[in-house]
Amino acid sequence: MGLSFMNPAFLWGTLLGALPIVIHLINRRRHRRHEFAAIAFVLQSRVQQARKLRLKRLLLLLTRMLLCILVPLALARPYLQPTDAKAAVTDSGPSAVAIILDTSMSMRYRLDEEMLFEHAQRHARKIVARLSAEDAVAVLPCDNGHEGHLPGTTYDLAQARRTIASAEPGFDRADMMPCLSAGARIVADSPLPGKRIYVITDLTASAWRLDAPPPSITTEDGEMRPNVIVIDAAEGRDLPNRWIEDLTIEPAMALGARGHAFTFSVRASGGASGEGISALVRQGEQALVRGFLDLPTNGTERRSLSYQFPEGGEVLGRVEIDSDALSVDDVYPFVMQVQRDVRALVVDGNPSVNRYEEEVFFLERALFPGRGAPSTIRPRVVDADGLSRTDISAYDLILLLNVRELPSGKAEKITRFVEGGGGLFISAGPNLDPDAYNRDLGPLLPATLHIPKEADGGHAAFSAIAWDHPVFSVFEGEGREGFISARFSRYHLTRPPRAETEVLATFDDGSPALMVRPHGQGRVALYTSTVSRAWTDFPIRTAFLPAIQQLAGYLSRSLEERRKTHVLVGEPQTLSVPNGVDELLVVPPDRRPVSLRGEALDSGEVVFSDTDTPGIYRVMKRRGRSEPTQARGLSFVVLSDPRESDTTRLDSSELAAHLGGSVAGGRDLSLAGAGPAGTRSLWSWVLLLAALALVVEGWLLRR
Amino acid sequence: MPKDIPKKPDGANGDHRNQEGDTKKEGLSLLDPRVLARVGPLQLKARQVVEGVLSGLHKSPHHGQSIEFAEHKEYSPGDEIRHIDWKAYGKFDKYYVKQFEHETNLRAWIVIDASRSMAYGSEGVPKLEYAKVLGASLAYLLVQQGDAVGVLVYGAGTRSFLPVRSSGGHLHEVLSTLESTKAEGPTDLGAALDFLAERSPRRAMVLLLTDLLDPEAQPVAQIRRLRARRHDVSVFHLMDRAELEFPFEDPTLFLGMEDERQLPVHPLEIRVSYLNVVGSFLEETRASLTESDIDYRHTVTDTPYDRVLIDFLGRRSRPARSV
Repeated sequence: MGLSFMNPAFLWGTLLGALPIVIHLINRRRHRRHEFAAIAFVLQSRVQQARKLRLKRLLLLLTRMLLCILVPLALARPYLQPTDAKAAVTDSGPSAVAIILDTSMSMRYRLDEEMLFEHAQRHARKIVARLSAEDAVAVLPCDNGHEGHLPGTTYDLAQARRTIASAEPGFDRADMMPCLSAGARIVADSPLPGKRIYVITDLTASAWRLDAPPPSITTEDGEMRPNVIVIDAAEGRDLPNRWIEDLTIEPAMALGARGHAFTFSVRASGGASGEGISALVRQGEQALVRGFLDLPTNGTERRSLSYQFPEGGEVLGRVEIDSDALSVDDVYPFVMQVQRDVRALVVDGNPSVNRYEEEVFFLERALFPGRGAPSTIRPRVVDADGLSRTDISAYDLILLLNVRELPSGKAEKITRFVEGGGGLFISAGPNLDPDAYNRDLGPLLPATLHIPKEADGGHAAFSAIAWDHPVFSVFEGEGREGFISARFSRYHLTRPPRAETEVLATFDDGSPALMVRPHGQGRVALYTSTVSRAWTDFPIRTAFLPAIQQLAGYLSRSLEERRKTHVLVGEPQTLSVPNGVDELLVVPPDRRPVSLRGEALDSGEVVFSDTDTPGIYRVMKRRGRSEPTQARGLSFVVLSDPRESDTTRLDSSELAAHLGGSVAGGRDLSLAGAGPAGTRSLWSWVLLLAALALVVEGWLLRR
Repeated sequence: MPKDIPKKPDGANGDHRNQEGDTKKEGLSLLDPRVLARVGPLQLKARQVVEGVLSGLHKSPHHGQSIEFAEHKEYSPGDEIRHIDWKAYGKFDKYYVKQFEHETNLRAWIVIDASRSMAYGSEGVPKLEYAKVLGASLAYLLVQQGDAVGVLVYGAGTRSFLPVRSSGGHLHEVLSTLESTKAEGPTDLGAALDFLAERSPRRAMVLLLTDLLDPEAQPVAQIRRLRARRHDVSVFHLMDRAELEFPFEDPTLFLGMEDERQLPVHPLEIRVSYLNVVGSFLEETRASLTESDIDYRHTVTDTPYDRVLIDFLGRRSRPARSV
């Protein structure tokens, strides 16, 4: 233990210890001169008192010197602290006090019919009530750091009470170290000598990063440690909690094309457990499927519930378990797209009497293997003449298979179709007239078509394939062999790809095999060989069917619809703005819609940042002055951070060791604020000694 | 004890503290030393004191007596007409004449200490000044009743000496001598008393006014020697109030008045001890002098003169001491 001082400047005051000697010397010179007839009696008295007086004077001098030294010493607030601890600033006298209120989601935990945050508010009010008029205070509601301008300390305690009263717990996760640093900056900015930080929190382990350095304050004497008092709003009690840790929604083909499996983990902490816990999947308020699970103490249980949706489209739903003291994490919202039917118009450019020789034979089966098969693609086959009579706007995807050239006037319609969001697949075969395509569909094509080419050596194979692309990303391991084993005898050459074109696959000689390119709201794919066995055996390879399914889904934009869209609380969500939309309305849970309009929409994407509440955020779109309608595929989910649900409590001794002090239980505030953490205050003893010296001095004077 | 010395009126018990209390109740009288100090010549002061004393006596229940009156006798031719008691004539329709006694066999020495220590006075009345007025008053009183008075003023030695006489002109000389006396030099009481003894072989009354502060000698023993020569000795032990009570508080450098001593003292520290020393000194002095049948009068210099005189006269009116 080493001796330190909270107000070291007062140590200069110990020089006052010399004051009694100075006064004594001055008084010796300044004796009043007085002629006195009875001086003999004075002499006699002094002789009688000489020894006693000398001792008394010496004691008086020592007592007064002691008094003059002890008072400034006490004001310097001495204390003993561990020699390895960083020097702490004083908390004596007028102090700058920062009260940090943990507003993280776990503070919503209900304890004794009240939220932990209400307990915390009560403790904060007590702290404010105990401040003196000379103390300045700042209240900082904080969960994982404070952005923007920090509040300064104020002497207006009423304002502090108002801030406490108006504070509310949020849904974000806690990280108390940045909050402590913010508190340290607040008290450091105050000129008051005392620096004290109260942190009122639930002491969940995930909120404290003990690998981060404790907060410090830069003073004239160097880095100092503020006096941090951590107050446990849970008052030392365990906080048992169950929550849904994660959720995965995957197609369950066994149930059908729209069958989905909801797989989720339920975890327990703080000593929580349970038997027969109900788990339920809802769409809106409609219960879809229910299950039960047993949860071991502080354990994890994984459960899967499956459901076949009767129709496609956007589903806003949630998985929920039996509610407990922290109910917000007992619900896991989700937004999913149940695959809708993709209407595909397949144009056969080379009909044959032998169906096995038709281009369409393999492709039609790849798109729709048969009734009961898990496919949502509904193909309709027409020949080139039939195309001219077909209303293509009723389709999501047009596949031109070895079509020589487009009927008159159809190219323009197809261009508008693609620009409006439709998908176009072009398969080049022996019938295809490159010049006609280049002329009619030139602006759409990923590359200008050239002449057909015989494969070198008679057999070409796929060379470079963009496995990361959504079309091929589902293929892994053995699944890729179907591409590697495919052989091509002929294919069309192209000019170098145009801007924005992605080459998804090439042949051995580097010629593009499959290219995609966006155009307007739609996408165009150019496959330079046949989907029949005329130029290749790829249609009979195992990879053909899923490749065509993926490609059809990609071109019709139904692949994106399958992906899960969620962000964590506080994270921004990027929204793609549909073509021709003048306004987007984001409807957060239990709140008024937020309007996004104007220039923000012009770039095609808009970032929505106001995601501070977990739940489903529905997105509506509006064109002109029309009524807003659901914006397909834009609604998203904001999830609470599952780490915040883990109410495992931090060992207070561990925290005390890190901060160098002790942690006060909420029930007994008097434990807190007694002095710098980990130190033993001596000033009261010194003051007691000074008072004793004063009494002795008075007693000596009366003797 | 001369019978013509007026008796003390009842109620005057000689306790100066009570007298002082009375004085304070009545406010400052004309006989208060501090007031009288501002009056002019000593003669006037003495007369003021004596007349005040006599006036006070007339007010006493025993005012039918006076230092001159002896008895009434029927008027006969040749008697002084101014001595006719007209009140008696009105009462008895006969002329009665007041009869006075004239005793002139009293010889009194007024011995005054004029050493430097007698110059001390904390409230404007030095002890010597007090002694001079008191001595002059006694002389005035004695001469007025026809007694013979002598004066001895001493310091280190005899400074002034006037033999014993009873004439009116002598009183003037006595007062002039006292008036010109100043406090200076050390004290030698023994030498002064020896000088007096040599010049006063006959038994006499000796009125000694001193502060008894003689660092070198034993004043009490010297006074007792004088008493041993059958003189009727009265000692007026004059003390200033500050000498008695030591009221100082601030650190003080006390300077000796008859020597070069300097004592730096914190008065508060030694006050109790001082009071004990002074108390012991007074008690021993009183006991020692009283034991030798010496009339001892501890007189604080803020005591009104008339009180002192009345007290003195009252005690003198008691049966004479053996001499």
